[in-house]
Amino acid sequence: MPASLSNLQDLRTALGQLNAERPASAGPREGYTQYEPRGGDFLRRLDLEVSARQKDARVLVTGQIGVGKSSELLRFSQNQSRRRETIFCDLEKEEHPDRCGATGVFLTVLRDCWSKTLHYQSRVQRSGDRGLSELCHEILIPLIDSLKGQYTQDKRKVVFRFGGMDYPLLLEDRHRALAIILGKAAQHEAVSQPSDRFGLVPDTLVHLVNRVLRWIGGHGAGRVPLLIVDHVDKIRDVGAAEDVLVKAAPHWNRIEASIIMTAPYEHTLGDLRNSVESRWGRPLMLYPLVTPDLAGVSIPPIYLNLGKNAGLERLIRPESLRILAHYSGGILRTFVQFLVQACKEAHLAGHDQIEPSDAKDVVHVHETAYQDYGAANLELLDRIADTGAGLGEAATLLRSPIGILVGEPDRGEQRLRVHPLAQAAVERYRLKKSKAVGVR
Amino acid sequence: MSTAERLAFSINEERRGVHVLLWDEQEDLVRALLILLAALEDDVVVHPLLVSPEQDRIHALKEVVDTRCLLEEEREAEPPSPDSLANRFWVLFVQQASSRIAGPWLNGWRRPLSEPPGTLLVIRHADFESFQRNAPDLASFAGPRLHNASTMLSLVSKDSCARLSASLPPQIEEVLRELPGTLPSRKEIAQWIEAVRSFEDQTGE
Repeated sequence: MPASLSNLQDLRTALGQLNAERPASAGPREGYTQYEPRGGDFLRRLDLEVSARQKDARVLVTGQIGVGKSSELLRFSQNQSRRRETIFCDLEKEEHPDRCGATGVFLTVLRDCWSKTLHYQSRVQRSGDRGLSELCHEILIPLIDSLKGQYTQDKRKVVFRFGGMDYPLLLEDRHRALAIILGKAAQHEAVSQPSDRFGLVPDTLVHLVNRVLRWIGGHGAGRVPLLIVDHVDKIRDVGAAEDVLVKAAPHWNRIEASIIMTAPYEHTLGDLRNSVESRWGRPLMLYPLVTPDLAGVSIPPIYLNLGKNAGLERLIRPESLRILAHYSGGILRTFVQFLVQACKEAHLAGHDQIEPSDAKDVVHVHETAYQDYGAANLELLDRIADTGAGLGEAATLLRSPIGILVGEPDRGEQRLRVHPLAQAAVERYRLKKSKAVGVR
Repeated sequence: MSTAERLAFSINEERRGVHVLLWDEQEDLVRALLILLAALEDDVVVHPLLVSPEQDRIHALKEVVDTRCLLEEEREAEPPSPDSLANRFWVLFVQQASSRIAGPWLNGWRRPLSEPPGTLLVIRHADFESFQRNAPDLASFAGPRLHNASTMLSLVSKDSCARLSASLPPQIEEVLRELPGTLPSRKEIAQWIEAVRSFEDQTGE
């Protein structure tokens, strides 16, 4: 029997292959969207930046929310695995990016670098190399002191005080113990009041990170370590962004590896722009995808393939796919979310496939939900629709899911356009404005 | 056509992600929640919590969030039990006018909030724009999973109709008393349920 979205089991199969909240996976994997190349030269440019400066590349990557930064970085990391020892540091994994501060970020980097060494553990044990155990000891002991850990009498256990609660930890497996301590310390840094924080400073952490990087470099069969620090772009507080991107820049420069780091888009545009660029260079932008015209014929292959990967090839009409792709504005998270919603919509309507009416319903709900713009925002959107410029002023609109879209630059200037879902609101605003002028 | 049953369907089928329920009047919100609770599968256990800027509230919320932030090593050593807070469906009622403080806090925890079985954020409609601005990354996770209690139709399937309870769980009522507006009385709820049931009897919907 052919698959049909009206069948609950088929719906569940499709939903299991679509996840807009996780970076795309390299191959088919339950609970993940499968990665699909987006075209363009983003990955090539990233490779060029890193290759050009062997061990000391410093690259900021930025782009609008949901545009696909994490998926591209994960892909880049996978592509590089033969040439570089990539260490993917995820600031969002267990902590709060906004509140980590530079210490929290470096703790996260150290945590993920240490996790990387665990990949070598069995090989190292077989060869009888004591280097990793010595390194572990070298990091663990001062760290326990810095975090004010209390040893039990037999020294087999140490008790930390995280967030006002005792946290006992067995020291039998020291490698594992160190991984846990680093994870807990990074979490603690992100949630505690400044007065409850430990005396760890970025300087110490950078030194420890470098110790681990050197060890990895020495065991990576000639592959140079590369740090990819993701979700720094979730730092929305301007002071916190300044701490990590500007004030901590000397510490970043001391890290003995190339670094690719995501940066909050709005803080690479506004007041911090010059300070950030003078330290990191111009951020590498990931732009929204090209979207199909509603009246056009072709649909960019990435949209078709994303649907196909989720098993929707015969479960979505091309017209429906076009509508969803067009109104996503080329923001991949929105597109995947639309696919999920449209599948459910089709099921509830008893449709075998996603019909254009299902796609339109999904788009309509999204459009009405997010268009509570104030007069000032509408004025800005109106101006952007006319001029295609003015990003500095409109940076706050980047926080709205359907405000503006920043496209590839044209003759050096960023091209802006109003999100297709905000278009109707702008039209209404213009109509009201022209009527008001007519009345006068 | 938005109904509370559709919201329940999304929660039941997706079992992850951030959903948003907007409201203007408590009466609408209570009705939407009654239908939602009736339509959720039995294994979706709801855990309500008020989100507001007071320290003790933030602390309580942090304790809940922590349950989905276990380190890999901790999870391996002791996986969360099925009835752990981590495995409950969190319903977070965002206090009116608190988005400026609570928004950035929630924004940083979008990952655990979206982890299975997910979270429902209940937000006053008038606050939603401020919420988006203060929690843009979390709002992007919610995306189109957005429902409005004020515009929901009171359409209820036969099964949910039979399961409709005459009152909300006390923990939810306790939270609702802290929100602006007045809880509808038991009598008003009973009348509404009667009307819904008689409509369902007539139409067989």
